[in-house]
Amino acid sequence: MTALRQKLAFCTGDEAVALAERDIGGQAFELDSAHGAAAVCYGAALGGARVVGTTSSEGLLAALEQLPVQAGARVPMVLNAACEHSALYRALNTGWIILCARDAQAVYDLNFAAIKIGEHPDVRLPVLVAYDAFCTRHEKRRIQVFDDAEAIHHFLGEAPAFRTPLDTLHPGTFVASMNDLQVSKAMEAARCVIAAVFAELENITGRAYPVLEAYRMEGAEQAVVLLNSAANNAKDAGVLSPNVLRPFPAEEFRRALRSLKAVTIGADPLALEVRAALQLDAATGPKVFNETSEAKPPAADARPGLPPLAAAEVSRGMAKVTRDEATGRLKVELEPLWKMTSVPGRVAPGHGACPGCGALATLHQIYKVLEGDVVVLFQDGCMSEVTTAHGASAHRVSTIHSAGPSGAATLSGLAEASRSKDITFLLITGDGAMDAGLGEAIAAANRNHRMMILEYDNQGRMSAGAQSSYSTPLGHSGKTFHHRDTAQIFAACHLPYVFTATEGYPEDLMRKVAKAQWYAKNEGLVYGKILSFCPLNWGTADDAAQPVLQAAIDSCFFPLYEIERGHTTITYDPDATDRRKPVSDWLKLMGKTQHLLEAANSEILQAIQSETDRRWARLKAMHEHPEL
Amino acid sequence: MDSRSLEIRFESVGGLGAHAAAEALASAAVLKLGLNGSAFPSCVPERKGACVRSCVRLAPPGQALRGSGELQAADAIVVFHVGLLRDPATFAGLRKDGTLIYAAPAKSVPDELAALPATARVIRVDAYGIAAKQKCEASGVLLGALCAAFPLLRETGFARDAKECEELSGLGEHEGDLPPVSEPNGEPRLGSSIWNDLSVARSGSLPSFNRERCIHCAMCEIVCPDLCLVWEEGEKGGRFQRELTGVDYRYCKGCLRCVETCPASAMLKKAETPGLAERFAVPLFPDLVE
Repeated sequence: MTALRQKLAFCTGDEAVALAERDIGGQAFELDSAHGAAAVCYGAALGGARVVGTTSSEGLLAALEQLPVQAGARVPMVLNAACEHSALYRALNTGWIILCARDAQAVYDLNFAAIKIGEHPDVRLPVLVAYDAFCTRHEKRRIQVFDDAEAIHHFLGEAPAFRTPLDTLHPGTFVASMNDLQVSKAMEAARCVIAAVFAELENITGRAYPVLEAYRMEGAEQAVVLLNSAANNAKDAGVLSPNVLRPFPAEEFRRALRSLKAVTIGADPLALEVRAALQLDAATGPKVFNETSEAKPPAADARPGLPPLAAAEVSRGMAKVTRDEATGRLKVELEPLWKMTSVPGRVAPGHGACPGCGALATLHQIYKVLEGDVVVLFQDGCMSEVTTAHGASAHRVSTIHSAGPSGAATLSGLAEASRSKDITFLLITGDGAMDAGLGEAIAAANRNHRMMILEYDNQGRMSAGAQSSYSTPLGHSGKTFHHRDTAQIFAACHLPYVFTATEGYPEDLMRKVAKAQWYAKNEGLVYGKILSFCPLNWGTADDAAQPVLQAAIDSCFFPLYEIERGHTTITYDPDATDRRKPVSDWLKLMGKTQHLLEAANSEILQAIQSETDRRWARLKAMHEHPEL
Repeated sequence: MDSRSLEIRFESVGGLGAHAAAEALASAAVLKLGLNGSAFPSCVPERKGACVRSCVRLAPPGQALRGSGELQAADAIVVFHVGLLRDPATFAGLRKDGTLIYAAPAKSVPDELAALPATARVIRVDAYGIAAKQKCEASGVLLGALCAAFPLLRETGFARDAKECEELSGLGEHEGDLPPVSEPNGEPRLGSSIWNDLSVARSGSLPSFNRERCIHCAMCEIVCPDLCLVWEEGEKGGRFQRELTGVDYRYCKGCLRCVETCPASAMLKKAETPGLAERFAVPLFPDLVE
């Protein structure tokens, strides 16, 4: 085969995956959680599709449950994992072939190799292409991409027709159980296949991927063993780094190391395997050091912080909650705003939120009325990041930062373990993390733990570059379906209290939060969805919170209501005050939705209006009829 | 470092376009000049107002690029906001023969520049003044100044007239390369964020407080995301039990939500001139911070 035509590109590791996916050809889907995405990919691969997926560190861990299933069922696909090494190590023995890509070029090239390796009839295993979570993922580099569709097609060949449940003429039982022996045989067979595919790739691209890559190893007496981009950073030493991590290149390591005097291994799990490979040369081989065994203890932050806040200092009775014996519902009397200035903040200034951030204003308002000890779990997202930015903490009470979207589950466990009835357990989450973790949040709601879930809803995964979430409305950032009505989903869990609010109406928000705390302490789980301003990603001025939030509620796109023990009460009715506006009056205020006002998008606009009207009419019916 | 390669760090604040400038530079060097190169952002996505660092590595075509991630040492450091010079991390790792370019109006020479290597080249460019006059992006002006300062980068097409830049001498006092700054690690202490200085996040305006007009209603307090308003007990026998006394501009990011929400016009938008914030700041933690 001759060299294929290539062209220059300048891209990140993630963009290299996207280019490879484009050049491999196919259809793209955006999915909800990494666990769900892995399952969707498995299904599509079972159906015979050629599947290329992407995930990242915690995503790989979330997907982990699916990985041995797919390997055991011998269903090939490619999963790109932009991850920390610590996450990758958890996936080492899942039966997947693992290729390591140290830079964007390798990410691109190895995607093609991975397809061919995994689909080989002797192998039939899924393949992970692992690259570093931050460095390779976001660093732009010079790469060569293929400019020859026919040659790519020739290299990859047709997707093989393995057995599939779609072939109803030949029914089968697709299970992963008791396949360990098969998988390990396939893994051994992969060694030859990988060598052959890499050779073929080199033939057409001119780029070599030795199973174990050596840098400055000629005549070296010592070496460092490093993985992925870390290997790229070592400059003045001999470096060995594997391009193939599964099957583990034990023989290659042994050959490269046995004549050396010393080797330092930059990562513990790799150390075990390299030591094992060297056992045969135990008497003569190099002295082996683990980098971590020499590591210094972390230095503590030298700067003093603020003293911890005692519960008494923050319990100032800013919201008095009483129960109306006649209706069984709660009444709240708020102190005036100026009086609330005497409540010390549970969150300190100096955090890294954007100017005008509504999520921070939301948190500030919530804290004004909460009484007593509060333990807060911040689910992954803007609030968890900006309050712990620059190596400092803006928190003055106990906070937990969950890995991934399982915060509701973790907090429910913590609440159950607590013997104190005085602590309020509060989950602060964005709509993005709630989207990914909705299943577990609903499970916690069904168990009705005494805790609060308060969601600052800014209509997207803003900490992930404004990716869409369940709250992103139709037509915003290309979304093709309506936002999910999560307040109604939680209402259907028959919780003691569910509410919606916005930081644009602080008194209404604070009354509801005070009620929510009462219910969380006395009856069970509460859920509140709080519309919060995001000037950066909504495309507005930093000080535009008030008009934009006002228009969102005046248009009934985001109605304000509460559901107390099953009874729905609309707390702000723009019809009654003659303030009702069309949704276009709200959408025109934001940069992100300007396109929806163009004539070409009138159908989308109409669809948003109709859905808004329909949901509002249902809500009004619920408000009027106690049985609804 | 190889004598023919170039390592450049862009020090900036989210929203000023440093990531885009770094990407544009490396991309032109790779795709237009045929160099080898990379561009690495310190954070993705870029949050408005947050400290942002972008790193560019360039090498001759045949030379493989070693290293990725943040640059601990650099041949050139481009500072997008003069306030960033207050933090030594901004110019940490500048090589003794390195170049520091900073955006500031004429005559602005922060004291902190004394920490630079005595042999380093220092260039000041009034990027924001020029950008306002020519209706272009200040990030483009800074990129132009950088490309004008290095012969290797002149062909990128970004280089601007070197006359826009002032080369300053006799500022640095440090001998040799500057050491890289080590980040604090380990569990941060509660409330340690109060040490952060966020004033660089403001983009030209700040809320100016007029105590005479204030009715101390706290409408501003309840919408302020930066928690930077200072409240005290009211004077004995006075009209107010609690009084707003001012703004701690160390934490104010200048969103002006307080101005928008104030019913008494006691908070007004004001253009931020040098020294204004320092003059009117009321500290929240006078005994702790500075």
